Amino acid sequence: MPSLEQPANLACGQVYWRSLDQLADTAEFREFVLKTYPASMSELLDGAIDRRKFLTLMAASLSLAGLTGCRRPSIKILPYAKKQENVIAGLPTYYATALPRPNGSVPILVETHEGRPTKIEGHPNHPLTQGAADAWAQASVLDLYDPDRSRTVVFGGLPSTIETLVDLLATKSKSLAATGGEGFRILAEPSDAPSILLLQSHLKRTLPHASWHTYTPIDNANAVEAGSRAFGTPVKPQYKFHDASVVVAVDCDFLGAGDGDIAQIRGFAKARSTEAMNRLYVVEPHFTLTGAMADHRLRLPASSAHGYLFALAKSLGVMGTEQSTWTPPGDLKWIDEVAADLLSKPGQSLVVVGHRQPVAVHALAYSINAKLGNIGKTVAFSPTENSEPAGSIQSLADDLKAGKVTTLVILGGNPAYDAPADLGLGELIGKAETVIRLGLHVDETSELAKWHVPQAHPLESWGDCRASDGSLLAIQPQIEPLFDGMTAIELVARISGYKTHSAYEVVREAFKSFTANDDFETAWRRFLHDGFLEGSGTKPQEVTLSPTPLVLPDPLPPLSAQNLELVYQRDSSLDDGRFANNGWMQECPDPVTKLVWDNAAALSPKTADAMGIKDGDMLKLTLNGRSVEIAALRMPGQAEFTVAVPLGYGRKVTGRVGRHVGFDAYPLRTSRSPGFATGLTIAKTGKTHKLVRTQDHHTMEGRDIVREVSLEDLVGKAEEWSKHRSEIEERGALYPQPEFTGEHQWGMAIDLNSCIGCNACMVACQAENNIPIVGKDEVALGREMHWIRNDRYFSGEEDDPGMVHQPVACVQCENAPCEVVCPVNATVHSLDGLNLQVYNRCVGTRYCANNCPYKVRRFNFFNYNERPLDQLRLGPFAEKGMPETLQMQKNPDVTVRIRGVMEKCTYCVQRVERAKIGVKVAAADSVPGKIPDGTITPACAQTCPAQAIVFGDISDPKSRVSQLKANQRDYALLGELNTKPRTTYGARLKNPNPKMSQPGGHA
Amino acid sequence: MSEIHVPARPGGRVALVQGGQTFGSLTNLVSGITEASTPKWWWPAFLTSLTVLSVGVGMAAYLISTGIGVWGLNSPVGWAFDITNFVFWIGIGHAGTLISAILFLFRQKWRTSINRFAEAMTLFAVACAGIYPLIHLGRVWLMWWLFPAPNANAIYPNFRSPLMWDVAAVSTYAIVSLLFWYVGLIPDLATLRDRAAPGLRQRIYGFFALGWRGAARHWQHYEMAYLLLAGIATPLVISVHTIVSMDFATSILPGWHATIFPPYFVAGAVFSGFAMVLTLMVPSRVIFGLENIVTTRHLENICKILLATGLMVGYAYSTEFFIAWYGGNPYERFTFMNRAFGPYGWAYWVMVTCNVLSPQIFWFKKARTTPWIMFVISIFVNIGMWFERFVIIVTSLHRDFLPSSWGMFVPTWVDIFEFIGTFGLFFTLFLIFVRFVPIVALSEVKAVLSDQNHEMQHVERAAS
Repeated sequence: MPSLEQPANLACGQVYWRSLDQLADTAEFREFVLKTYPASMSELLDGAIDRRKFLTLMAASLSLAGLTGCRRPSIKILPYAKKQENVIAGLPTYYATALPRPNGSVPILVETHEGRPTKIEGHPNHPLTQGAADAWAQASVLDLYDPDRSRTVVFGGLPSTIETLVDLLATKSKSLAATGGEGFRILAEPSDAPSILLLQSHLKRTLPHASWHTYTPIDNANAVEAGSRAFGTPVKPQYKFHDASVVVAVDCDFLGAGDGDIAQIRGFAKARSTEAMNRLYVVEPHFTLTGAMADHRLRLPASSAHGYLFALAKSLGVMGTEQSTWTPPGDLKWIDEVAADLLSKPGQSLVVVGHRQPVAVHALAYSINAKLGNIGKTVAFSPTENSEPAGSIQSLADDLKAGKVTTLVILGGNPAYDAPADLGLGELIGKAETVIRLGLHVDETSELAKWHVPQAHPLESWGDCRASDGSLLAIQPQIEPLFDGMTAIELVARISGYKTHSAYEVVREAFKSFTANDDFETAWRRFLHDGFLEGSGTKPQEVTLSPTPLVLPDPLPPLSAQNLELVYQRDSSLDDGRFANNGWMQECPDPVTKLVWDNAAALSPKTADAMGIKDGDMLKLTLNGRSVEIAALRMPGQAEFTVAVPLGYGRKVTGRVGRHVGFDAYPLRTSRSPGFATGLTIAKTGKTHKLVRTQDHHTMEGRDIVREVSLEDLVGKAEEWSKHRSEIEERGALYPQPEFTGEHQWGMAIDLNSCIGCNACMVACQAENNIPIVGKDEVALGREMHWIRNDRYFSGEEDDPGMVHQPVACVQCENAPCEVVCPVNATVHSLDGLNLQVYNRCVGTRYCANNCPYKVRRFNFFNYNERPLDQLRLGPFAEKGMPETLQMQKNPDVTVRIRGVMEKCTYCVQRVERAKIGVKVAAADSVPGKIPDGTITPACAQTCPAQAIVFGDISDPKSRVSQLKANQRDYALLGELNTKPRTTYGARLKNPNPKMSQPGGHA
Repeated sequence: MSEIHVPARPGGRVALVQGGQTFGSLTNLVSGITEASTPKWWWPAFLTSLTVLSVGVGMAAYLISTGIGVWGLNSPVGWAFDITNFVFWIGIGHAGTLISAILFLFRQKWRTSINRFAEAMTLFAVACAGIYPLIHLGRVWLMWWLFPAPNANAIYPNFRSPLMWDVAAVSTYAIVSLLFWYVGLIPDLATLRDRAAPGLRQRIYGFFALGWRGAARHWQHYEMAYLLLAGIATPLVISVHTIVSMDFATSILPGWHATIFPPYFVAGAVFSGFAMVLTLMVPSRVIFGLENIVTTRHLENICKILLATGLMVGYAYSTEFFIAWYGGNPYERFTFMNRAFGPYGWAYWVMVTCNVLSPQIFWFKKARTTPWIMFVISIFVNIGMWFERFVIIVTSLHRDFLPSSWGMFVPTWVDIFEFIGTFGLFFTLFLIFVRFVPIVALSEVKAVLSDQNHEMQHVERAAS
């Protein structure tokens, strides 16, 4: 991991792919075009201009102006004249950096090819990620290359130049300094980055009347606030799931998008291994990935969570809960037995509450954990980082309303879209005299701002941030800004008149507080090299429960068809809406509903039936006089009279991918009830909407697909299990088997007991293997291209089912049905057991896909890579060519497939081959040895937060994969077909409380 | 010996050629169809067919230029209308060679008046069928890779793939059928040549008649060649559809993977082929005034074959269900339950109604001898046999092993117009055929007539 320390000119010698843009982007040229052809410049602004059109325009402009003559600019592609340090042509280079997030940033490792970042991996050395990354981190690289990113400064709806903006910032900075920052406000996403804190304190010092406000629609503020309230000091909880034997999650999706975190997932997976199997109770309003892993799951509206927890606390004997009269619907065991189970594991249990729940519920959970002796064991509290308390969005709205704001700077976020509806921020933003908006895209907020400034992507920026464990992470550019973006640091530094405007210098300045002065350079270089500062994580703090009285749950009127509960969901694909223009995320199915390119209001089947609602019916949701229209979806496992709506959809102003996809629920969401609200009414509008899912059938039809076994049965009936396994003995085949004479025999083991179904593998595979997106209409036809998919099945009752996940990619059958039927030998076996697909040889009979029992083969029905998704059916009349920036994302080691060709997973054969070549090169003239176990990880295995996928050499009995395959839980999916798959699965374990009934019954 | 309708022979069979035909009248009747001025209906019919054909060509052009995605195919249904239509047409193309070759070897003389017609139909149906394996390829421009052609990459096709066998079987069948048809045509082409006035017409027929003079040596060679070709063609009748069935039977898909497929498919092909012969023959014999050559007895024989083969496919359907239950394979059981009662259940019942129930009417002699009834039933059988292939292909694919990957197939307008377009090709070729080629094998019918006359003389002598 060499550091990348060239702040002045980062990409020297590596700029050939964008020389056209560069030529176009010179300031003189921009000004010239702007003055001469303002109309054409606005095309540039939309990003709608294609290269050819641009060249025509440019050529015309140049010749008219009589500048450098009338020749087309020549483009030269040259090899490196001098060898770049650490760059070996054809081999990727890896740099450590980080992706900032409002709720804990992600340390990552970026794979770059000749200066192009192509793939993101979790940081292998950081304790939080250990090489894993989630789907959002994987998809971030596509955001970098999004051709719809804003490309130019916009002033009053018309294109402007960065120079004009810099002049404005200089002027503003002077005038603000004169008034002490009177009327100056900054609205940013919450950040505990030292550089931002540095600028904040600078701002406070030099511009005392200015103020800094933060807002992000989904955060853990309630947990932090409850920490302050319960312990009298600002602390936030850090959960250690790997130490917890009994976990009770109350409306807390700690494994999924809701409250998930890579470290939590890994910790939970560890605590769920055969040796130390934990038990998970989940109480939640709608099905989540956490609920899917539960041993016992209770459907309960979010508004009843407080009541449930209070009753549980009473049963546990927590002080101040004596008055509770709440009883759960149906099963009293949900209080008494859970309490007994918790009490049986003092110090090894954990009660967690999700971000949606109000402060009082979090505080109650802290009291329970304190009572159970968990504090300091399964949950630790650490001080929050913010030294400069920031204002809220409410106080900003008040200031705007009062006309106190003259200059407003909005850094990132998208408050005009996602701010609480009751603030009316949309109208208020215009009240400020000057509004400067820094954003990746021209979005809803940019529309309201006088100035829009293109933001540099984190992969193009200098910066710093903190991970959720508080450790300091470095953000360093992997590529020169593609569209001349500016960083938030630079913008704030300029307008606040900081001594330097360079983000690099500001970050260095901020880093000084972490190191002794004399060895600063060494520490700094090490920081950049490592990507994080060792030992900078926050230390747990001793806390004692302050004797504040617990808040009693409000007596709520019972929910009914006229008084429904609305639950806002953090979307697993789009987060709060920030990934709306990311095609990978739009096409990544929701792990629970399997919806793509849409969101929907989920209702329980019973509630939907009672109200006569079918899938796809358009509903009018009305809450406190505000209403939105949204399509309905029946979801098993949902609490009655509860409507769950994912946020982040229905974007009106964004790029071509995300515009008008799904329905916007923010107009219902107010600052009083940002998590859930009751009093919702719904009415059918009579219209319908086409909802598209990647999976239309949801039960296993009694087939042996996902095996589930209780811990008791696994131990008690071990013999039966081994018999079950040996039932599929060696059977003959019609044709001779391929020769497996290779030195390695590759295989994979997927542990369904660890897999939580988070989809990170799907997006990682998409990034690694150049898999195109196909659009909603094509997915509706079943033509999605994902090489690895996440099958999701329900079991048991429709109202209260169990849910299981199973990632399925090509299982590399030794006896592959696809190979026999291909007439042109386009799919063949390698000597080391890979079922290869030769794209160049494929003529597209599709017989292999028909004959594949796992249905993992994907066919290019159209030229998905070359034609715009809305013009697929126009054939030769459609526009041709992939946007240049998207071409830059492609992995050069993997062929981009043409239409008419079949494709599928090959265990990332490019990585396998690279490792083999590496071993051969290292061996030089001697005989190359075996590739050590663990050297090769396919993209899916590498990113898996639960470490559920293990790849390796099955001919080596000591390899991890061999050991997993020797486990008695190991089984071959559809093994009875004699396909002899190299990928096998580990049966899922359940650890039910014998005194309670299970969700979904026995699968 | 005019107006003899009394049973001519023991067994109650009526004469094969009726209406007091002589060699001369037969020649006039059959040759006259090509010699007379173009009938008024021909041009509108031909232009309509040509228009429909051009729609099909347009669809194929769109498909090839844009991608297979313009059809409704998807994952899991990787084949649908393409292979359904391919098997449908190949099945229709079965009757011709069966009538020509097998019935020839079995000395079924009644075949002579319909074999030309049926063989032509075979060729045109095979032409229609042949389109699909080509255009359904994702990269049709590379289709030559399916042939074992020497190439710089030194990559050979995969001979384990039934698709390879299919390429060989269908192309062999097409070539042998064409040769067989053409060899049979030579004496008749010579007749047309001899009747034509000097000029282009005479020269063209003369070219294709290959200098036929009707010499005894010619006849001797001709008879031998015809017999040999019949011998070669006979196994092909069985093999081509056997191989087509192996496209499915060698897979592991429940609903495809069945050993019953080869005989089941051959019976189905004969069934559909004869149905199509009937569909075309019933109106043609009226239009061209061939009632005395293609007599009710001919039609009745075809109806009997339809009844027999209809029962065979019905038996196959029930056997499939029995084996699905008896075999105890849960996937297969599901597939067959799904076939009959799943989302495509309606297609299954259309198939059963048309193929098994509708031919039962042929137990009644009245139905077997009433042209309009047999015409209607033949249309039913054509529809039913198309649905049989659709049911086998689509319902097996759309729900296989893993329920997560189940899907549905809905045809697009391109699917439908492409299929209609193949009918355009079929009828365009057919109309050219009826206009320019003797549609009844004159020389063979004459041989039957001469036998018949001999027999008549025997009968008369015996009576007197």
